[in-house]
Amino acid sequence: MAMTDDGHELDDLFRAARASAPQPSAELTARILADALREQPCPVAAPRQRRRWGGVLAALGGWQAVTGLTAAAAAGLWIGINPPAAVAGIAEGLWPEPLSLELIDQMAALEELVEG
Amino acid sequence: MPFDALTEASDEALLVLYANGDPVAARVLTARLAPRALGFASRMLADRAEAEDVTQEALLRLWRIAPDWRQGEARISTWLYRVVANLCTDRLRRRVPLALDAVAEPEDDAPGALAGMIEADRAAALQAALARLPDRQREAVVLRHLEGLSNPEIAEVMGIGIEAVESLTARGKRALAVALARRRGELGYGDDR
Repeated sequence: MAMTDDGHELDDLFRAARASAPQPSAELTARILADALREQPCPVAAPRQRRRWGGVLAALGGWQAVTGLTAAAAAGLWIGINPPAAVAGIAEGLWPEPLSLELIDQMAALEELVEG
Repeated sequence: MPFDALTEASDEALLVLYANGDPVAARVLTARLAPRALGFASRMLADRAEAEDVTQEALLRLWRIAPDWRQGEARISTWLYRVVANLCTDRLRRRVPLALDAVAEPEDDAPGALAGMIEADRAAALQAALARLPDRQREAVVLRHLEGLSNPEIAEVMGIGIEAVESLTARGKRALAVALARRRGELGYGDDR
């Protein structure tokens, strides 16, 4: 003896079983996701580039310090290219005589030592 | 990427995102695949705790294979069912014979029978009958009629031909029908014939 030959009753039981299928608990989902995060090949791939530049900024004292440093460098460059009259006057006051360079023939002095 | 933005993505696309470091992809894949793995393992093992362990292990293998997954070679869901089937087979082989006998059929005079059968009772009766099927018949019947896989997909999961799948399914259903026949009245289908 079996259930109805056309299988409708068995199909009905399958439908009931599908409707009561077990669902993952929150605890199981947490275990699975913990595995996923642990096994993920490169979980922080995107932020890594930002972190490298962040390290450079931090070493220089943060973005505020870098801003000041850039402004000072630009001002120094401009003063060097086009010194104001006041700066030129101070320089002349500190070093009034013109500078000159003399080249000494060291090879001649060496030959004198060897021959002497 | 937001959870909602990924719910329409394919399993394969989500696995690529996971392998590229997207933290949300794993959540979407888990929400999609864990219920299927757990449902299949529960039917095969008739043990919730063991089924949960199998589900976690199967998904762990998915996370580990993600960087080497070859697009287009196999569907992720089919691959996962095969892993779950293998893990369940390993556990069933380790069980002592008494464990299967311990799956008792509900008594005919149980309170549920007197009060009239409800959906949960029918599901429980089917589960008890499934647990008494040979493992391969149970696997084929569960994949076909509870997980909704096609015969070619089942053939791929079980590593057999489509005709063998049809044979296993047919024999399994006949055995279920016989096993459940004497409970027709109790299940709300009228008197035994």
